[in-house]
Amino acid sequence: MTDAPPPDDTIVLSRRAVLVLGAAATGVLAAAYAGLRQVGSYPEPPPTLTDLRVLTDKEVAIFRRLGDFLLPPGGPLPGSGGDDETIRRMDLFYAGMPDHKRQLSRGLPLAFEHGTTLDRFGARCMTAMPEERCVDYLESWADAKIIVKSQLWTALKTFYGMTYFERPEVLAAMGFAVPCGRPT
Amino acid sequence: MTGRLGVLEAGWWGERSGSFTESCDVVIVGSGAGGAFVALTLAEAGLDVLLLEEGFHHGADTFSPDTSTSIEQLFQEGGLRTALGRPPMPVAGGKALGGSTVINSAISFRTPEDVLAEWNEVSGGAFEDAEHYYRTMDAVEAIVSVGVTPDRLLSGYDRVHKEAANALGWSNHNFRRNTPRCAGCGRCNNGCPVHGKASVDVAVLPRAARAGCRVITGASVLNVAPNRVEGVVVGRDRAELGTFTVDAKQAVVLSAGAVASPRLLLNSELAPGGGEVGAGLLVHPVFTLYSFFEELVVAAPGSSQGHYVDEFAADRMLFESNPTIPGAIFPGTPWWGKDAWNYIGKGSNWASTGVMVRDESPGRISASSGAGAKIEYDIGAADRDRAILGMTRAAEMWLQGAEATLVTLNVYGAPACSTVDEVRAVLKDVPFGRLIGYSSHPQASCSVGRACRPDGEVIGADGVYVIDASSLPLNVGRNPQISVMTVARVLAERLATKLGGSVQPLWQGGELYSVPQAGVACGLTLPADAP
Repeated sequence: MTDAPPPDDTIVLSRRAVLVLGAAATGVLAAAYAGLRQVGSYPEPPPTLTDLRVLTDKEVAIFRRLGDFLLPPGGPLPGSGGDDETIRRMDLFYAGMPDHKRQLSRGLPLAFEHGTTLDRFGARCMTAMPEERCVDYLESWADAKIIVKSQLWTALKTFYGMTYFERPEVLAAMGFAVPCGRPT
Repeated sequence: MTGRLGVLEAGWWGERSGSFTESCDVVIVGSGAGGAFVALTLAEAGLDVLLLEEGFHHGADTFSPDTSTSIEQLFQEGGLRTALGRPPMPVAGGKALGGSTVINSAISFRTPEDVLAEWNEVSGGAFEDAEHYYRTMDAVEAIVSVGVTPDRLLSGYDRVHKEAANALGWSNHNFRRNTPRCAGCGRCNNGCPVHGKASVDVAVLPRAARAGCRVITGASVLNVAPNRVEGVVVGRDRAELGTFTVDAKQAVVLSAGAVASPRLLLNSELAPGGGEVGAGLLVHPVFTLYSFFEELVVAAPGSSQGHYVDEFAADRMLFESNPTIPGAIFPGTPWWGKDAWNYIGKGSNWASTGVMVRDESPGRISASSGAGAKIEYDIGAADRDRAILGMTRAAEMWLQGAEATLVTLNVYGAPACSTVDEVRAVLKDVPFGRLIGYSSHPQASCSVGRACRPDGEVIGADGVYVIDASSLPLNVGRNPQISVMTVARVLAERLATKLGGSVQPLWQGGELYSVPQAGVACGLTLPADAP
């Protein structure tokens, strides 16, 4: 009589299981890589912008970058889309929204900041991109064939329309009298 | 200077600072074009009327010239109310004492006779007495002081709009508007800063208050039941200050507009009318073309909207001159960066046309427990074709009639075009979802004959009435305020009689509209030949 062989606790994996696990691990690693590439640090706004009501440091950084691409400094009109006054107006615009609309609208800057992941795998978030790549990236929004991207692009421009182009000095420079001369 | 109807009488409305309970014969929810005429009719008929308004009273000196601030303060959902569908579309609506009449361009069309006949047919005879309808409309127009915009009040962009239409020989007109003391500052949509517009908060509600109607602002109704409404008291800072209950012995009338009225009924589970409440919504979409000129076109201030083209009215389209607002032009153009500066930087060189389509593909308002309305609307194939035809024709007007340098289309991702052939190429087979539409005139969502009886009573919800833009049986195809006021009066007369009231004449003669210092403000004064 011989002793029974010790139980074999070796797990034998099928080829299919190996492939599935390998793919899953690759996916997790790729997602982690892409995610880490999207992590950015955002500077605190300067002392000139400490009175913001709702925008976070991250949102300020995103709107600054987008604003300076959409309406860059040095144009024929005062200021720019990314300067303190436009950011302040953007903050007021968000603060004035009903709560449910504000929550929804907070997704807009994030879509542009992190849309780089879908647009080109492994890219840094938008605010961390070099200027040339960022221009290339935003052109992909402006010329988008996907309707939702076009709609978000137009929504973004609407937000700057409601902020930068409402500045009295900008309107005055375009020849529009500030109506009735009242403070805004 | 004082007059019978339009004198500002501080204190005829009230804001509450905490919870309250009230009772009355009839409670009216909403103070816009519909609610104001219901309140006036029922109060003068001898009924005890209480009117609740979610927004607040704003005087000429408190309206902000800043568009974004005005939108936040005076528009439903901060101006971000949107219909979901193909394409998604903002749906504007006023939130103030006076409703949308406070923030509209004061455009005052009469209901066309063929439209009234159509309404009568689809409503099962609710508008059979056309003579009475138009007599009522005459009185409505007198009360809100409708008149033709004189040429001297056309803005620069109105003038080029008119010249372009004339060059092509197209039928066109100056708008009729209810702005008897217009100073031509172009700020109608921010709230008139000079009391120049006879919105209902100026021309109608004070008379209703004199007849005994109580008016409470900052009262947001959340729930409706036969003989009762409940809601929350809100402050101007949007803080909730308490709750309220109003018991109405005889009737609850919803006049909160074509989105909010059916939404209230549906949220309150008071819409058993075979699914007709909220159905049938028409939004009267507008598709805008912006046109760029080498020379200045906005040199002259004027009315916010002064001119329109009705050459294609039989094809269910109107072209309306739109105000030049750089912040609105920017998203409607393909440019950004340095290209934006080249064109948008010259903001005064732009004019625009809104192609308004009398739509026939209905959407729907649904119950929505959250803070926002749930509006579903897909533009139908026939309406899309009208939009495309209209934009093509409007491009002809600008490029051939006015020799504009280029036009931009309300189509996502479309390039600017400098020839009509380019416009046709862009618009050929354009997907529904790529059109960029806008709605300021939602209507017909709780219509007489389908969801309501001829006096506005909701079928299946006895004692609850809807009388506002929702009541229109079909799209009127024009800026609707005068039609809404007239329909409201006609339905309210029926309701007053049913409730035992004695209907008084709408037109009572006398001085119509007079507000101290109207039409004079901030260096803008009435032209010398003003009435």
